[in-house]
Amino acid sequence: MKRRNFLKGSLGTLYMMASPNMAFPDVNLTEKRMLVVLLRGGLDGLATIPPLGDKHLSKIRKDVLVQGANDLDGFFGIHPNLKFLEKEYQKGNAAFVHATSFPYTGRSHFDGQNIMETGSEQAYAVTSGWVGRAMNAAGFSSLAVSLPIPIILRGNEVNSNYFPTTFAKATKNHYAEVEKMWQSDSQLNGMLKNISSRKMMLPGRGSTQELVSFAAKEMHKPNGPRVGLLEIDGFDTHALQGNEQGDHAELLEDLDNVLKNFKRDMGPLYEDTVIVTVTEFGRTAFENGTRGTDHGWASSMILAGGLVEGKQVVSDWPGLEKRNLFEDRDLKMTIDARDIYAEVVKTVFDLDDDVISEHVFLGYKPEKYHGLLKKS
Amino acid sequence: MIPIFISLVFESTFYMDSKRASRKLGYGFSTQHQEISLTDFVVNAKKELEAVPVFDPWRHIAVEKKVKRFLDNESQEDAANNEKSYSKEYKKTLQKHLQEAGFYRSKIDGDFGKGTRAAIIDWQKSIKKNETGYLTKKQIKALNQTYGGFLGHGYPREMQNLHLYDLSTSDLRYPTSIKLAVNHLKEMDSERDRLRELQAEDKISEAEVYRLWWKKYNSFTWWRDTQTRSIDVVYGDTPTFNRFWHFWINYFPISVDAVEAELFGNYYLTIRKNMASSFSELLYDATWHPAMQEYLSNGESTGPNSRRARDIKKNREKKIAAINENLARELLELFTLTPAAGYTQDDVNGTAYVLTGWGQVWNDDVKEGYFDDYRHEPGAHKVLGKKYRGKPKDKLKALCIDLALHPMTARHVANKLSVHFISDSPPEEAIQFIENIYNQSSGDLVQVHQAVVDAVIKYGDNYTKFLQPELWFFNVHKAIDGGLPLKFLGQSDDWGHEQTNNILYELGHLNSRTPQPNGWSDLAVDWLTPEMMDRRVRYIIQLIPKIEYKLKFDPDQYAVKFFGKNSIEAKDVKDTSSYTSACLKIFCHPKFMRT
Repeated sequence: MKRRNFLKGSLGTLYMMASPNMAFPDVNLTEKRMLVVLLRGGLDGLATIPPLGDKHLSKIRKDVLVQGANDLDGFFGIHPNLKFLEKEYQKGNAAFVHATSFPYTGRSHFDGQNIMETGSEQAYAVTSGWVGRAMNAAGFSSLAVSLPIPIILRGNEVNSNYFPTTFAKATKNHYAEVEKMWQSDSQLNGMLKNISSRKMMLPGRGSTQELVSFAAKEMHKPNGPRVGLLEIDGFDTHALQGNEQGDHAELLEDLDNVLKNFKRDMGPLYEDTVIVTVTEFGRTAFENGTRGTDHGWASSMILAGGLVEGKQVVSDWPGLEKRNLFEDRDLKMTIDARDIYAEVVKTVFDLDDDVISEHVFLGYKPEKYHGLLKKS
Repeated sequence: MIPIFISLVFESTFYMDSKRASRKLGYGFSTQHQEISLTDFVVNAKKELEAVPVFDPWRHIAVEKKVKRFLDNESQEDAANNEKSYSKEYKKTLQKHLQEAGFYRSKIDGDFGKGTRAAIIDWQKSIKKNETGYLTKKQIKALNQTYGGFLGHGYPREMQNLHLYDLSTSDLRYPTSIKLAVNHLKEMDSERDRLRELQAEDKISEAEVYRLWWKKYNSFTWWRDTQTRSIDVVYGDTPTFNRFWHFWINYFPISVDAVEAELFGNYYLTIRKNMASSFSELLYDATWHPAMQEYLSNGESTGPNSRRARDIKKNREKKIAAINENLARELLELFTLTPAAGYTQDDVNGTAYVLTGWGQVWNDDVKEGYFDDYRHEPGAHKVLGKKYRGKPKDKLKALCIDLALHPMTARHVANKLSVHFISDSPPEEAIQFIENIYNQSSGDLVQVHQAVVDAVIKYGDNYTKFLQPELWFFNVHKAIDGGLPLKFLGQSDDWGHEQTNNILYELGHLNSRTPQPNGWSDLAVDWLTPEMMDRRVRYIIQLIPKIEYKLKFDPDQYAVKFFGKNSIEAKDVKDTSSYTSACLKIFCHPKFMRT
């Protein structure tokens, strides 16, 4: 039984950017760009990049088993709706990592999302995010095009956000009056500084596509933002997940289109860009009783862009046989996602390993780099 | 050094009096508010919490109606005369908008012939205006705002259409029983399906689908729910009770993204009904309610040894007979124990087995606590070392009682209440105070709520709490004594896109759109961003015409009342010559934005 609201708005897509921080003009700024895509809810890696060579896959999944996946490397396939990514993979501009995750096995969205955003091993242990700290270390400021600033970006000294509204803008004088009134308040002081002076105009309250096109256009400018963040909800597919068709397939199609347009709008700068996905956990290897999947552990990760050493699926495949699953149910993590993110951050922000370990991943030292990014 | 978000402890520039208490445990006060002693405040507030007051916000609407009367005096002749001056391009635009509204079917040619005239008449009919065939300026404005200004902004569709239709005849009563709610839902579902089918067969356009649907069911129920809560907050006399009710609505959140709007009203009433019972009963009622069952997708969760599972096997259905652990996990994680309790995956599974059989409410004889053991996993299910067995339907109740009495649940509830009412980082004594009463009373909600009142008075004066957007919005409207944007009246001629849900959405906090099952955040760090603060400034400016001329709000008087007679702030407001600036200096003042 498919029950959905008759009239359903599409909200929940947020996006942000980072610009060179004018407070630190002397910092050695890289020309490279990064788009982080947060897939909230827990991406089903086994439906996105299905391990076709694992014979157990079709035994433990029925309704959610994806038919018609295209072969990538003889073992892994790709969901038929990820057409753009498949092409990019074949061209050497995209790569995938499988059986990867943060080392968190608690299966809670909220703890899991906190960990994926803070980059800490414990939920709620720190209040800043790993992207925010990386930007801060590299001397960037950020502008979130979202209402609350996502945790993953917090920790940056100059945080701002923007989201289109239908309320009319206040006059300069009114902003000035309010700003003055907030001056002695340590939480509110400076809040309106950027608002009253900014020139950027978003094209109304946009769809994901519009927001991403806008992001690409801004990131495309020579002095434009270096980092973008896109949030996509809806990957928590407990019921009626679908297979090559259905809810999950539609989400992947949207994601694929968004990335395709992003590439188009980035123009030649796409060569200096990396796109990377982040999700809180994968889903159960087994299908559940409502034609969906429950919270699991490892998932798959997407990397795309000119900076990616493409046409490879990096994985140390743990296998889907019951005895190989974590607690008999979840795909095991064999590659720590932080190893990949560290490599991305190192390339994009030109940061030293020590800085990454200390500031970005709070003491965690990546085991090794997997050669997913081109050597410059 | 890693910069982290600075959390601040403010100097105690406040002291606790009944005014401040009414902001911490209610929605503040207006200029007319009669001051009472703190002791009397506490006595009244506690009394309010002893029983569930009747919820009848509609009686307040008459007040709003009086404020909102507005006439369109333009005659047919004037309208026809004005029309002569319109350019072809302008006429094309109007035709386009009439087309989008589902009334005009001919060519967009800028020629106002028979087809256009008929379309205008049909449209005027639908908004209950004189059917003249000529658009008055007011009507043009309405048409343009709806179809010119709204489409293409990515709004939820319902926001674009709402004010075109007359809601005055809608059945806006709350469904008091689950049977009423489900029957209403099913009735609406079949009408939707019928219209969608007609559309699929190309017999009617998309616009026509909306128009016909609205004609028949011209209400959007979760709008009603926000509206009525707002009305009751601003005009009602049980603010403290409402604060707790709203707290629990957010503690057991649901979202329109996953739940039929028709279920909201009954769900909110079900939570309300439990405000003077115990946490275990509230927990049980929120968990079995179809709104929560649907939100966390438990309805089709199937026990692997249930009769349903046997049928799947027998009929060789391409389905897997297994549980869905979504609701079970949140029941342990968010509603009761929290992960700190250290439950295991087996506990989640056990809970999910207990939950099988709930949520299938689509039968005609649905009633409170509806349960169908067709999908229920037979036998005993273990959660936290205890086995739940016996009558299938009774297992959930027994589990809810045990979870409610668990010390980790007491801790969690006390902490959530303290964070909401006292501070983002509440003092340990306050949490313990509430926790102890919870444990002593086995989660009796009257006693727990009253303990929160005591804790706020006792520990709250040194702590400030930054107001979430919805609370700030309510505080503003309470202060100006009305002026709620209540668009659903429909017959009003005030066409702006002013509507409580829309405003709350713009302010970043539309309750019915909870992003995730952990509800809206209580922490300032999630709300204190430039964009959100900008919106508060903009909203006040948008409110000015209404409060200056219609409500005749006097900022000077209010500033004296709010900041104190000899305060610098009141003096500053008095010295401000611009009405708008004076209002900004009140409603955007840091002291107004915190309690």
